[in-house]
Formats: sequence, C-alpha cells, structure tokens
Amino acid sequence: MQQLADKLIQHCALLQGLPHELTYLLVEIVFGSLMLMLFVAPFAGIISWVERRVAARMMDRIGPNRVGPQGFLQWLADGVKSLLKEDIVPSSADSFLFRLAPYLVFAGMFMAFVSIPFTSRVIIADLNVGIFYIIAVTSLVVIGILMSGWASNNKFSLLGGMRSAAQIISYEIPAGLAILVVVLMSGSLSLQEIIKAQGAHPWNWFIFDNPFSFCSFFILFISSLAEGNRTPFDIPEAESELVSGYSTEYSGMRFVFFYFEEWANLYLIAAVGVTLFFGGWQIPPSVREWAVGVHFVLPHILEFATFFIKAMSLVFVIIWIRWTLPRLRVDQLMAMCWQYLIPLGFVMVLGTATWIVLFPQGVPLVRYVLFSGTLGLFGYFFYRVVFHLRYTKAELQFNPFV
Amino acid sequence: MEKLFNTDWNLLLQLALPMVLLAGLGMSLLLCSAFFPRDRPKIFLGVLLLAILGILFYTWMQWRVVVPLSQEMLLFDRFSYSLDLIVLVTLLIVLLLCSKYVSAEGTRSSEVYALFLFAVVGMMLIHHGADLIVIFLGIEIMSLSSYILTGSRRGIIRSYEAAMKYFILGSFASCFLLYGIALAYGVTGSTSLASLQSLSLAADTSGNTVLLTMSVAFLLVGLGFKIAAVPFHLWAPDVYEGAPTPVTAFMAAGVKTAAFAALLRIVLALGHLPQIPWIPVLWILSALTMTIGNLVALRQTHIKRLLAYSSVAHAGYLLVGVTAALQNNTLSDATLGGVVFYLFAYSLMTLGAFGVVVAMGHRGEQVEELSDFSGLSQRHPFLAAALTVFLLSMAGIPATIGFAGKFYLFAGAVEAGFYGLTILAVLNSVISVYYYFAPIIKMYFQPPRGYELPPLSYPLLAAVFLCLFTVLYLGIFPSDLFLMARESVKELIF
Amino acid sequence: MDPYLSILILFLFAAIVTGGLMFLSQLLNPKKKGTDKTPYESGIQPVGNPRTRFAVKFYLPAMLFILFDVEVVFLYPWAVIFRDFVRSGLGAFIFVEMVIFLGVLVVGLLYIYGRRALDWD
Repeated sequence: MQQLADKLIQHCALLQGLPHELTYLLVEIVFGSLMLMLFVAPFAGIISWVERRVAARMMDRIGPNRVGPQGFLQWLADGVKSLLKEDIVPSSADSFLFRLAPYLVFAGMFMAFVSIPFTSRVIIADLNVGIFYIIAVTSLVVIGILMSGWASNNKFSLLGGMRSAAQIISYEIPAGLAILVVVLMSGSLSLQEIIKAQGAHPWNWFIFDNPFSFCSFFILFISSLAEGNRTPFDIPEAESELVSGYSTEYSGMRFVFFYFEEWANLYLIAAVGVTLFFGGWQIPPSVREWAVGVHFVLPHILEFATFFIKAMSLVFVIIWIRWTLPRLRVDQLMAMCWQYLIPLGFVMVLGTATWIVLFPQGVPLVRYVLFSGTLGLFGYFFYRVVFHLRYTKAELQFNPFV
Repeated sequence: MEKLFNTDWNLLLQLALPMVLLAGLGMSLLLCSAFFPRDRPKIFLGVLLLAILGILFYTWMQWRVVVPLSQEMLLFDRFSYSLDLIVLVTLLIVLLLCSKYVSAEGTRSSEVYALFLFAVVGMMLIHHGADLIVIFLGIEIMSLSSYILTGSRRGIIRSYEAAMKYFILGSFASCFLLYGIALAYGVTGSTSLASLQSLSLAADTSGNTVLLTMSVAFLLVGLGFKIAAVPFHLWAPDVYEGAPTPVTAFMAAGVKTAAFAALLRIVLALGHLPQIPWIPVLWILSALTMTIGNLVALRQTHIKRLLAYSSVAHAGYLLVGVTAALQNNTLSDATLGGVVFYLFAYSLMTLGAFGVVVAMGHRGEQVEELSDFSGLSQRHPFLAAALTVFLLSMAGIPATIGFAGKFYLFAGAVEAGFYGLTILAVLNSVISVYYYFAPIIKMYFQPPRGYELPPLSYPLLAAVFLCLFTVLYLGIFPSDLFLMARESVKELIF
Repeated sequence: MDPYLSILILFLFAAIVTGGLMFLSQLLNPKKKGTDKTPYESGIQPVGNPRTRFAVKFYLPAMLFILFDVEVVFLYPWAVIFRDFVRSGLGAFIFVEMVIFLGVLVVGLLYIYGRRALDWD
C-alpha cells in the first residue's frame, strides 16, 4: 500500500503538498472503503445472483430475471428489501449476544480481506504472517455462529450452531496442514512472498510443484468448503432438517450480514486457493514489460484481471459442486475430516518435506507431467461432455441469458 | 544454527536414552491398547518389568560414569540420575502393585501402564531440566498423567471427584508456576537455571525487587502445591483417598520426589538472591508443613487419609533438609545428600505401606478404614508384620530406613545451625508415633473382623517383600547408600 | 506505515459501515411492539427449553481440535525456516526432527482412531 501511495505522490502534484503520513492514511481509508463498498459488497451481491442463475440453469429453470437486465440488479433489490424489514429479536433470546453475533461473523470475514493481495502492489496490509492472520481472523466466524445459535433460544439454531462449530474447527486442521505444505515450499507466511515464490506459467504454480502439493490443494479446497458451510458440507443450515440453522431467528439487516458473509466467503476461499496454489496475480515477465511500457497502471490491471479470472473459475467450481453433490451426514462429515483428511494432510506435509530435501531445486519434468496431465484430464472431460451431448441429442441452449 | 553443528547428538541421545525409551514404550503400549482388542496385562507387565529393569541398570551405569554436562535445555549429573533411580524403583514397585487393579472391569492395563510411563518421563524431564521451561514441561507431563490416573477407577464417584479436584487445583498451581517463570524471565531476561544461578551468585540487585519477589512467591506456591506443603496441601487427602491405591502410592512417592527435585534445583539456583528472604520463608513453610500434617493426621480413621497427612508431614521434614542445604552456603554434600537419602527412604516406606493397603483390598472395593485392620496379625501375619515395619520406619524407629533418613536429615539441619527447627522436627516425629501406632495396635491387640481376605498375588507379594527387605536392610546398614547419596550431590550443576 | 494500523483503520471503517446500515434499517423498518415474538418452531408454541445439556460428542472434536491445531501451529515456524536449513545442508537434520515430532502426533491420532473416539455415533 505504501508503495502505491508513493507512486501516487510521485504522479500527483496535489498530494506532494501534504505530509506523507497523511497521504498514506488517506490512501488507506479511500482504498479500504473502495474495497468494501465497490468490491466486497457488490461482489457478495452479484455472486448471489450468479449462483441463483447457475443453479437455475443446472435445474433447467430460468432463475431471477426481472430486476434489471437479466435480473442483474436482483441483489440490490434484495438488499433494499431486507433494509426495510423488521428486525425481530425473539423475546426469549439473549438480546445482547443475539445482536452481537452478526457483527462478529461479518468482522471475521471482512478482516480476512485485508491481507488478500489483488495485485503486486494493491494489498491493504502486507503482513509478514499473512496466511496465519487469515486463519486466525476467520476463526472469529465460528464464535459468531456459535453465539447466534445459542442466543436465539431456538432448537434449530442451537443445533445448527453446534454442528457448525464442530465442523469448522475440525476442518481447520486439514486446512492448516495443507497451507503448511505451501509454507514449506515458499518459506514464508506472507501472501505476497508466497505468490512471488511461484511463477507466472502454470507449470510453475505450487499446485504442480510435486505430487504432494497437488493433493494438498484438494485437501485445502475441501476443507475450505467445509469451513464456509458450503454444500456438500452445509449441514449446519440444512434447510430440510434445521430450517435455516443458526440464522433461523434472524431477519432484516442482521440476516443479510450472515448471508453477506456466506457469499463474500466464496471469494475468500477462491482467493486463498489462487494465492497459495495458482500463482496469484503473476503475469509473464514479457507481458509485464510490454504493459509497463504502455502505462504504469496497466500491469496492475492485468494482474488484477489474472487474479480475478482465476478466482472466479474457482468460485464457479464451488457453485457447480453445490448443485451437483448431495449433502453429507454429520458422521460422514466428521469421519471424512478425522479419518481421511487429517492423516492425508500429515502424509502430504512429510512428503513435501522429503521432496524438498531430495530435490531442493524442484523437478521440472514432474511439473510438466502434472500440468499436462491435468490439462489432459480437462480435455477428456470436455470431450466426454460434448460426446454425451451429441449422443443424447440434448437441446443445448448455448445462450445463458434466456 | 551453529549450536546445532556443535552439539554432540550421539552423546545427548546416549545420556537421555532412558527418557526416550520410556516414552517410546508408553507410545507402543497406547498403540497396543488401540489396535489389539484383547488386553493382556500379564504379558505387558512382564515386558515392562524387563524393560524397566534394563533402564534401571542403564541409569545406574550412567550414574557411575557420568561427567556433568549441561546442554541448552537438559543437564545430566549424578543428582539427576540418582533421582531417576528413585522414580524408576518407584515405577517398578507401583507396576507390581497395580497388577490386581488393572485387571478390574473396564480398565485397560496398557493405558494405565502407559500413563505411568509418561508420568515417569515427565519426572525425568524435571530431574534433567536445565531450564525453567523444561522443568515446567516435565511437571505438566507428570501432572496430566496423574490427573488421568486418579480418575481411572471406572464408575466410582469418589475417583472422579478426586480427579476433578486434583485437575482443577493442579492446573491452578501450574498457572502460578508458569506466571512465576514468566515474571522471572521478565526480570532477568532468561529462564535458564545456569544464568539465573550466576545472577544469584553475583548478588545482583539490579532487577526489579517487587517483580522478583512475586516471581519467587509464585514459583513457591506452584511447587508447594506439587509437594503438598501446608497452606497448599488441602488437595492431598481427598485425592489420595479417591485415587486407586497404586496410583496413590505412585503420587505419594514418585510425584513428591520429582516435585522436590524441581524445588531443589530452583531453590539452589535462586537461593542467593539478596532480595528474597529465602531462609525465613522456607523455615516457616517447613515448620507449618510438618506440624499441621502431623496434628491433623492424629484424627484420621481412614488409612489412606492418614498416610496422606503423614506424607504432608514428611514433606515438612524434607523441607527442613532443603532449608539447611540452602543455609550451608557451599552446596553442602552432607545436607543435600541427606535430602536425597530421605527421598529414597520415604519413597520405599510409603510404597510398602500403600502396598499392604492394596493387598487388603478386594477387586473393585477397597478396604481402607482403620477398623478393617483389626486382628490382621492372626489372619495374615506377613502383611501385618510388613505394615508394622513400614509404619515404624515412617515414625523413625531405629533399625529402619526411616530412622537413618531422619538422622542424616536432622544432622544436616543441626550442622546448618537450625536448632529450633530441628527440635520442632524431632517433637513432630514423637507426635507421629502416636498415629502410626494406631493401626499397629488394631492389628495386634484387637480381635479379627469378619470379612474375607482376598487371595494375594505374587507380584503384590514381591513388591511388598522388596520394600520390606530394603527398608530393613538399609535401616541396619545405611552408610553405603548415604555415601552414594553424598556422591550424587557432589558435582551439582545448573 | 504499520500494516496493523491499516487493519485497525479498516476494522473501524467496517464497524462504522455496518453500524450505519443497522441504523438506517432501524430508521426505515417497521416496529411491531407488543406482539409475542416467540422463537420459530415449525409454527407451534416452543416446547421445553433448548438450553439443556448437549450431546457430549460435540465436545470431543473441540478437545481434539485444541490438541491438533496447537500441534499444527507448532509446525509453522519449522516450515518457514525449512528451506534455510536445506540450503545450509542441514535438511536431513531438521527433517528428522520434525518426523519425530509428527511421529508422536500420529501416535496420538492413531490412538484416538483405534479407541473409536472419532466415530460420531
């Protein structure tokens, strides 16, 4: 951030008159508010619309299409509607905790955005313990959820809160182990350093570094889904059995905070995954040189676009999973974490450590093989999709905006 | 990183091998308990006894050849190895004692054995700790294992209650200890005993006196809890009563030995700090501990409570030795040797006494009221005789190891010039004779009570016999052991 | 500028925004006083009190979490310096050290696995 502010001072005559500290503060506030107002909040809203549309397509429905072009402004309408709804606090609830819980949930998610890198310069706080910080503040969400479940004085809420707490804290361990693999490879906890330790080309990403890191990504991905209460791990708010879980009693704006957290969390999951395993904002040096020649802002735009596209692909996969897989049972969920993911996580940590000791410089061949193998799998997948579409002669409407 | 290059890892492993082996054994036992559905207490006991005998022998060899060595975190000298020997003997006897108890319903022998092993590893860490953090770590490993062991009598409310009390109060004491360590670190900038000792020897008064006093006070509270010194002894009777008897024996002997090891190291390291009134504090602590322990023991009708208060009183006698050792400015081998000797003597006679209590109990229910001992001399002369010897030894009657121990301990105190404290200790010993004789009178001069004495198992008999033999033999010829104890403390390092 | 200061600033900013939104909502929304706001229980009057004793199996993951999460946190400093050690030729040493640590940890995991502490039912 400081570098960004320095650049601004260099290029803007107005700022040169001000003391530097003040400029930094201003940039901080402006950028922070921009991020909150123009990125996180609309993103959470828009992604809710995206998810509803995608879900509709997968279920052969149309989905929201009334408010704005193709229903694009549905999220704004929903927000305004919630703003005008009564804020009900059940008379038997623990009023203080009931009111406090949504803020905690919101803070836990929002604080994590602070250290997510958007480009090589644009990061609000480049902490030297970045990934650790994210693990730490997202734990705040558990407290909020547990608090809301308990304070509501509702059996569904309590069950949802307890389930959620058990699930989130259990899956924090495999997530921690998978992140450990990345820390082993990069030797740093700072998110920028982790990205810089990877290359711009896909075969230089950490996911293809060695077979163990390849598996670690999936461990992290599954654990993140569980930590975000996403399907197939959405038992805390399983609507068919628990109404709406811990948020059953909430209405109006407080309800929005819970859902805001849920949608924004999607991007958080994807951003962490991209940062740790998919090379973050890295663009090839040649492209970068060219962009710098054009205008000094252009590389940042390209970097942001790279990061955003990667993250959105992951977000799409998450949505896709939600509408494909059925929900797990509680016992299956816990068994999956404690009996499979955690031992597997230990194996991955040991394997990566061994790999680094044996090949401190990495093995390019393995990278290429893993990368091309993945590419081949994708190719085969699309081939099968096309094949089945032809075989079943399904009427496919390629236009998503019907 | 250079420290890593300069460390002789082979030597370190060789010196710390007993700890490593015990921890490895404990973990294998845990895995056995998890993956073999059938419990095989006899096989486990056999293997463990062999292994512990081997480790005992190895430690003994180390004791003979060791050159004092202090690494960053661990130190190895004769003092630590001699304390290791004491807890290993304790472990051996306790394992023999609990052979009946572990085959009870709902208990898995391998888990109980593993917990005993882990506790002993913790004790050894305390003995070998060259840093307050390592000592704290050892105390925690030992304490956590003993909390669980205390509650391991399945389905018996008293056992659970004892475990809960012990756990909560013990954690509280650990907090004090940790806070004391933190304050010591805050004042001196180090937690290593060596640097604390050099600071204390240099009579450095630069540190913040208030914080340092608080730190020492907290350390004393934490350690005082573990050794059950008097203002902090209230947990002892309840926990000793509720815990399974072999575990009680283990706590009374092993845990106390290790806690005293920690106390000795810390007191001797910090003992010359000019800001702290060490001698008056320890004087009062020891006087209170032995007097109150003995006076309250007079009213007990429950054998385990009686022995609990007696163990409090013995902690008081040991504190006399600690005070004297501190007073004799040069780390006096005779005084400190007396403490080590007494620790050994106390462990053996306590283990023996609790061993007899174990032998009296049925599977499951325990026989613990004093009246249950009526006429034992007619029904089982050997047990009666053994208990008599152990109780006499605790009272300090000549020709037993207890007498020799008290003699050396009090001689050291006289040498250090604590006449008042010594007279108090002797008076206390006289008081203690009264309550130690209560069970003896019941056993020999009262008619037997009609309940069936359970059959005795060989391991149990072996344990009681081992204790009996040692108590008597070393009571009659104590000088060799005392020489060894003196040898142990000659080159004390920090 | 201290990065933690920016976190604080943003936290305050987020608090103001959320507080403002709540305030706005309080201004605009209807308030029905005097109505009975009972917790939702499928449309009937709630039966009994939900805040009773809860199944112990929920606490077991909590306890195990404390154990394993702390151990994993211990691994992080090791992971950060791992490359440095490998570079200076001590890779095998630091690797073996951590294998021992992880070994102890895995024994614990195997134990709770073997004793069926991880089975939900």
